[in-house]
Amino acid sequence: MKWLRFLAFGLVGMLAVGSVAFLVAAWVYRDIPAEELEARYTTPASRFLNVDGVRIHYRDEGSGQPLVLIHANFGSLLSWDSWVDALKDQHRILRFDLTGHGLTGPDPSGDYSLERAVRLTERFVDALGLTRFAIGGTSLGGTVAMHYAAAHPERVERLILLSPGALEGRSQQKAGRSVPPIANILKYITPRALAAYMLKSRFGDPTKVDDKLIDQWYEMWLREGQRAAILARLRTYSSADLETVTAAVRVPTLILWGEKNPQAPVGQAEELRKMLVNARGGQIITYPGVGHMAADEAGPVIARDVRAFLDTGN
Amino acid sequence: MRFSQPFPAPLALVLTLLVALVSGPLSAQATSAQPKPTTPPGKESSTWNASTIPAPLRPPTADGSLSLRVYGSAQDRLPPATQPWRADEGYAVDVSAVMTRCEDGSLVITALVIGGQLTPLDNRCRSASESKPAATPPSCDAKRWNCKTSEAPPAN
Repeated sequence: MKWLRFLAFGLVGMLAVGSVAFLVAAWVYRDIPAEELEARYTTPASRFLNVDGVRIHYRDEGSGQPLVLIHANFGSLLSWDSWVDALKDQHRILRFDLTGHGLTGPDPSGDYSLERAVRLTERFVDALGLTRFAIGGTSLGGTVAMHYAAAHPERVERLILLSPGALEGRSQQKAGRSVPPIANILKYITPRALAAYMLKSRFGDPTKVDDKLIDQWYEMWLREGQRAAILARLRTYSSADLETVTAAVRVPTLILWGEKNPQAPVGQAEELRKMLVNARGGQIITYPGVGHMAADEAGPVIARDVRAFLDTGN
Repeated sequence: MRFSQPFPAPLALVLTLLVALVSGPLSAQATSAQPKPTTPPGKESSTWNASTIPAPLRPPTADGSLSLRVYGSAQDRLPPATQPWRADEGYAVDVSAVMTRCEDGSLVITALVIGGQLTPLDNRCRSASESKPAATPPSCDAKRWNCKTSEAPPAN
C-alpha cells in the first residue's frame, strides 16, 4: 500500500503545482482593459484624436512656439514629463503615444512599419492644424522625427534628436537580426521583471530606475492588444534609406546623446552629424553616465539644453 | 555658409575688414549686444558699421550653444541655398561644437567641427574630486591679527 500512498501524494502534488502554474499564467497573461488604464493615466491635458483609423492619445500643454515630441520604443509620452515641465512656460508641447504604445493602443491596420508611423505623425499634426513647429524624438521617436523633418522642411523649424535609433536599427538590419518566434510567448507571459530589466539596461545608472517607472512601462505593455503590437513593430522595423533621409534634413538640428548608452553608442552621434550634411548647426551635446532612455533618466538636465537651442535665434 | 563653397567677393572683403579692424574675438562681437561704433575722425563709415550689424534676435542664454556668426553688409545677398533661417542679416559660419554636459552642470566643448572637420579638444569634465571646493583655510592662529580671537591687529 506504500506505492498507492506515494501515487496519491504525487497526484495531489502535481495538481497543486499545476494549479499554482495556471494561476500564475492567468495572472501574467492578463491584459489591462483600455478604460482602466485611461482612468489611471489620463490628465486634464490628455486628448484623443482619431487619425487614419487610429485613436491617438496625446497631450497638449503650454503655450508658445509648438514642439512635437515622439517617444521611444516600449515607452510612452510620459517619458517627456520633465521636458514639458521645463519648457511649457514658453512652448506649446504636443506629445503623443505611437501605436502599440501608451494609451493609443494597437493600430487596427496591423501596420507597424516606420512609414506608417511617419504617415500617422503627418496626419496627427495636420489634424491639429500645426503649420510651423519644432519636432523632437528619442530612439524610435527620433527616427520618426528625422523622417518627418526630411519630408516636410517647410513645416519644421528645428529638429531635436535624442539618441535616435536609426543607426542602430540599420546595423541590426544589416546583421540580419530579427525577433525569434519564441518571443511570441511574451504575448502571453510578460513578467514585470522584464520591464525592470529593460529599463535598467537602458539607464546609465540603473539605481535611478524606480518602481513607479517600472509599473508605468509594465502596465502600458499590458494594455489589451499591446504586446502583440510591440512584437509586430519589432519584426517590421526598418530604418529605411538613411543616407537619403538624413541628406534631406535641412533644418537646424540638435543631437543629444547619453555617453553610457550600449543600445546606441555615443560614437553614433558624430556619425549621424556627418550624415546630416545639409542640416544647419548639427550640434552635439553628450551626457556622461546617461544611458539610452535619456529623457527618463536625465530629462531636466537635457531640457535646459533643449531650451537654449529653441530659444536662441541661430 | 560652408567653407567648401566659394566666398562671394564682397563677403571676403567684409571678412578681411572685420579681422583687420575689429579688436576682440569674432564670436564675442557676434553674440553680444553691440555698442554703436563711432566713426573715427577723418574716416568714412564703412560697410561694417552698426547699421550693417544687426543685433542678435535674442540675448544669449547663460549656457547657450556655441554660435559663431559673421555678418555681411545688407547688399551681400547669399544664394537661396544658404539663406539664413528666419529673416536676419547674419548667416552662420559652418562651425559647430561637440559638447558635454558635465555632472556639475557645466558645459564643456570637447570638439569643434569646422567646415565638416572634427577637431577634438583636450577639454573634459572635471572629476568629482577636482570639482570639490578648495581645502578649508588653516585653523585660526591666535597670533594673527585677522583671527577672531585676536584682540587687535598687530602694530607694524
